[in-house]
Order: sequence, then C-alpha cells, then structure tokens
Amino acid sequence: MKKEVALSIEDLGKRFKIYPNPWDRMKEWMTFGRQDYHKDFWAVRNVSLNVHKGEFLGIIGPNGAGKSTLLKMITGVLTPTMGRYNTSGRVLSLLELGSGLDLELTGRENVLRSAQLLELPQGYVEERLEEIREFSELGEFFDRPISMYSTGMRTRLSFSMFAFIDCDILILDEVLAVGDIFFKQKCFARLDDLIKKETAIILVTHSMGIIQRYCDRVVLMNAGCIIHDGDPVVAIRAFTKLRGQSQARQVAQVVSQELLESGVPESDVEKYAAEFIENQKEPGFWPRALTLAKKQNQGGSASLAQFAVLDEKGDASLVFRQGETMHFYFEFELLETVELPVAQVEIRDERNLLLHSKLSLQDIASLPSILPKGYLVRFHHAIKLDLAAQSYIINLDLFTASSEVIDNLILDGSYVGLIRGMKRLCRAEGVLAIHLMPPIVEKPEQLFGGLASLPGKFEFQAVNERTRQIPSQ
Amino acid sequence: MINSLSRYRRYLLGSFWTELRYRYAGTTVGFFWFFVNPLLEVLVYTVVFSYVINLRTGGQRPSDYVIFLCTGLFPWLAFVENLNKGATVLIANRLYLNRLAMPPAVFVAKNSLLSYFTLLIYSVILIPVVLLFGNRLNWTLLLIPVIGFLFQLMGMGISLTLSHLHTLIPDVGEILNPILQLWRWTLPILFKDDIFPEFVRPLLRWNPPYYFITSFREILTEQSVPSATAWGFMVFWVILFSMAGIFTATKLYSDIKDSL
Repeated sequence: MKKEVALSIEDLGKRFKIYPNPWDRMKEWMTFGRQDYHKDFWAVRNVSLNVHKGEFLGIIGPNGAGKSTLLKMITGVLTPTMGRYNTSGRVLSLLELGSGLDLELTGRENVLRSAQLLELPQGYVEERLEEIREFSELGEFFDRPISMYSTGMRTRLSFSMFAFIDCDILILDEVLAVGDIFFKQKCFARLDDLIKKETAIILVTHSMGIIQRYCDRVVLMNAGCIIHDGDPVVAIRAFTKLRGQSQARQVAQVVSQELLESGVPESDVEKYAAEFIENQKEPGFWPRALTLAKKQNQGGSASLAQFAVLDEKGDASLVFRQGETMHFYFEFELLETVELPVAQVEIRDERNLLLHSKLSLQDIASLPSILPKGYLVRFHHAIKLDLAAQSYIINLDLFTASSEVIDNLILDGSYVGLIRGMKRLCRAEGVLAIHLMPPIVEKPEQLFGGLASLPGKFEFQAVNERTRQIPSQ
Repeated sequence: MINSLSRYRRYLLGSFWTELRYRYAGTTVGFFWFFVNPLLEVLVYTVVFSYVINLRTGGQRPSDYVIFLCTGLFPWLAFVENLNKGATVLIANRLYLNRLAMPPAVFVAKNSLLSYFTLLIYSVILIPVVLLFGNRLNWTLLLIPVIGFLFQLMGMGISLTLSHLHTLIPDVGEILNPILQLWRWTLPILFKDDIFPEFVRPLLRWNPPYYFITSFREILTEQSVPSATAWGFMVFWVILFSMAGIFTATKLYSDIKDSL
C-alpha cells in the first residue's frame, strides 16, 4: 500500500548556460538574444520521481551527476528550465552542516539567525531552544561564539537545530559524513522519529554504509538522468560498476591518445586500445592495473603501494553480499632489506571492534628467506564474508622475521605472541571500507544472527525416552 | 520584489543589528577607525583648496570651507559606500544564496540600510561642527533623515543593478571604482557650481546625486527647505533607479542563482 505523495517531480530539467568569457553574456544582451554566445549544459534532464510520506530516499551517483542541482530545484534555490514539481508542505534543506553559521555569533544566536533565514514564524525556534540545546550536548558552549567550536561541535549545533524544525520533506545533502559515531547514531534515531511522523527524507551521500542501512529506496543518477530507481542493493551495485567503467574509460582514453601519437591510424586506435587493455595482464595472481588504487609512499621500512578489492567475477567492488568471497590484493614496497615478509589483514567494524585478523603464513617455506630493498611484495587474500550486514574497515600490517623464529612462534600457538615476536615494518589503517548487504538466501543455513557465522553444522534427533528408539517417519 | 523583502524582514533587521554591533562596538577603537577616513579627506581637501590653491568657495574663512566640504562630502561618502559594497554583496553572501531560496535583493537592501545608518551617524557628527562654526539650526534638521533616506534608496536601486552585473561580469567592479572617483568631481562637493563653465552649469542638476547633496547642505548651512524642483528631481531619480534595479533583479534572477 503506497502512502500519500509528498513530492512529485515530472520531467524536470535544468540547463546552465556556459559562457566562455563573462563579456560574452553582455554581447548576447546587446543582440537581444538573437545570437547565442553560450554553450548549453544540461545538469539534470527528464527526471521524474515520486517521494511518499515517511519514505527515506537515498540519492547516489558520481560527482557531477546532477544530484545537488536536482535538490536545489526542489528547494527553490534554482529555477527549473523544464518540467515541474509539486511539494506538499514545508521543504527543509540542511545547509551544508556548519558552513551556514556566523562565526562571531554564539550557538544560541546562530540558531535564531537560521530561523530567520528559513522564514520560520516568530517564536517558533524560541520555544524549542531548550530542546535544541539539550540535544546538541554543547552545554555552556551553546552560549559561546561559534569561532570557539570544533568542527564536530558545529555539526552538532546545526543538526540539533534542524532536527527540531517540523517539516514535510527534509533534504540532507552529504551532511552526516562528519561527527562522532555516537552523535551520528543519535541523529539517525532522530531521523527514524521523523519518518514515523510521516516526514519524507531525501539523503544524498557517498557513504554506501548509510544508504544501505537507512534507505528504503535508492535513486542512482548519472549525467543528469536517473538510471536506477528502487532497490538499494541493486543501486549500489550499479553505482560501483559505473565507477569501474569510468576508470576503464579514462585508461582507454590515455592509451588511445598514446597510440594516436605513435602514428597508429585513427580507424584502428579503438581496436588496439581495447586489445592493449585486455592484454595488460600482470604475472601470477596479480589483477589488471585498472582495478588498482595507488597509494602515496608513506616512508618507513615498507610502504603500501597499491591495492584492489575484487568480487568473485574479478570486478572491482566495495559492496558484497553476506557469504560472498572478497578478493583482496595488496602490494608493499620494501624500503629496506628484510627477512621473510608476513602480512596481516584486519577487519574491524565501525565501533573499531576487531572481527577478523589473519597472517599470511601459508607456504612460507617456499618463499625466499631474504628480500632486498626496492622489491615489491604482493599478497592476495580471499576471505569469505560470513559477517553481519554492515560496514567494515580494513587495516593492513607488514611484519618480518626469519623463518626459524616464525616456526618456533607458530609452535607456541599464540597469535598475539606471534605478532609480538616479529618486527613490524609498517601499518596502514583504514585502507578501505567495504559494505556488506543481506544475502540472496539459497540455502537456509546461510542465515545467521550476531556478528559472524562460524563454520559448523547441525544434526537433529528426536528420541523416545523409554525405548531409546528413533521413531521412523 | 517588495513582497519577498518583507518575507525576510526579520532576517534583514536581525543581521542589520548584528552588523552594526560589529561595526561600531566590535573593537574598542572600531568607532574611531570608522571616522579616520572621512576626517582625513576633509583635512586634505581643506589644506589643498583653502591654503595651497586658495580656492575659497562661498565664505572667506577656512572654517566656512570645512563646513561646505563636510556637508557635501559626508553624504557622498555614505552613498559611495552603498554602491561599492553593494556591488560585491551578492558574491560575499553566495553561501546563503546558493543554498537557500532567498532573493538576492535581501542582501542589497541590508547593505543600503547600513549605508543609510552611516549617513545618519555622519549627520549627527556634523551637527556640533556646524554649531561650533556659528551656524544656527532649526526644525528643518528633521528633513535630513528624509533626504538621506531618499538618497540611499536611489543608491539601493543602483546597487541592485550593479550587484547583479558584477556577479555575472566581474570586470564591473573594476570599472566602478574609477567611475566613482570621477563622479565626485562632477558634483558640487569640493567646490561650488560656479567653478564650472557657464554652458555646463544648467546640465549639472541632471546629475542624479546633485539635488540630494545640495539639499542636504542647504539644510545644514542655510536652514532652508528644498525647493519643489529639488523634491521633484529627487523623487524622479528614486523611482527611475528603483525601477531599473527591480527590472534587472527580475530579469537576471535565474542567471544569478545559476552562476553563484
């Protein structure tokens, strides 16, 4: 059963006029529009959308996809070039948190000022001032100038203010990316209250974790159009794929340019470029170059150089379903000569709880016992993600020790002792974040509760107490 | 336009007061710095015109020249402040304009209101100076806020146009400065009309700020009520420039929002 429509958008579009030179605008006025000196740029085109009361809609898409332009039209900041939209009730848009504040004014004064900016009736915020102060947890800072606030405190102030203004449609544009986790949880609890009060919430974010956890429905935008509207999981997948494609396109462009310059006829460039990219395989298990993210050299004894996260099909991905296998590739550059290198992969949740940590100790006997400075050491770790559906952070370490030391340590059987016994070459924290989504259940044993699924199985018997017989079916 | 201004009147007044507080009470010497510039100009012009070039206008004493100069220069400076700050006011407030459905005119209006306040402060400062140099004052003093208001209302109309043009074509700001510098010399601020050649004189009154400045000065120096012609001219310019400003603001509303 669909609820009442809070916002309906019909064939909305926005065209920006791009003038190569500001005076070109003047020239155009002089001719009274008979001659054009501008180029048209459609930031949003043919967008139709209905948002219902109490719906939590997420909007995702690459930079420049038109997300913000669309929201600005809904809030009345920009005038649409074509189409129309209809809103029922008050639309409230969060100013990018913290940036709309006046540094000289106190928190209290800023709240009052914002109320004026938002055309709220007199006395409206004044009545809620105490609630706002309490929610923000700012204490006495509430009456001090904003210039004394930390970024986190500014976020708290802004969010607290907006959380207490009644509205029918609340628009959050990339606003909950900052702030500590406890306050964030409080914010989302508040958003849940608003949803129960039939407020429609539209959230634009790059955080797939937030999208996946809170949105009932996700719209994916690209180049000004909606390319997916519906299931969040499908949308996030499509978005990740889109990012991979744009990366591939960039590589293809560079390669094509190089081929052209080296005298390859234009008609053949495309074919050769495709071939080149396809054949650009690395030795061994290492994935193709375009799936890799590069890192700056951080100095020290060793440095993380590049890494990739691929799904089972070999496509770059940061979103997985529960139970899928993630293939994690990473490469360290050795900045000094070391003995046997051992890598550690850690998976932590958003509260920094360590869920999994493993060392690369398989087949160490077959590795060279010493590696000279300047070598690259590459690892591939395949992990079956039998974890709760949420976001995770991955940390990496690189250790070294002689193979004898390692053998002795392994005999002790203590993981912590093993780590203590080796020399740490480098640690990379928060290398990447992955997001886990609920599985498409094929077998009932796939379902589990809690933090992780431990390997194991069930057997079942019903026994007659007197005869010790198992009744036959 | 007027409707949208009235919707934001609480913000307009609220931020107006805050800004006044910073301008005049922000620092202990803030109020002082505010007057350094005009006083320095008065000093320089008095020395140059009264002693060096010996161009005595009106009365013969240097003190007469100081009065003459101040009563013309002060309203002019407040007017220039209105235009100068008004031209950049949209860019300065882009943070609000590109996130809220606010009309740009709100910021132009606030700026003009501040400049009107500057003019009032200057007038209050002028009163003891005028009295000190032996002039009398009477009820006509009450017309000062009225003329000042009309003057800055015309300034607001011009600012409205300028701010929109400046946002779209940044060079406008650079052109504005020399124009304002030259404009001063076409008005009876530093000297009387009679310094201009005979054939130019009838044209002077068509210079928009002309009657505002002369009326302001005559109230303070001669306690005379502006003539019907003066009122007519003043009201005419206010209406003309306000219409032009509203026309520009309406025409360019979407362009401004797009480009900020």
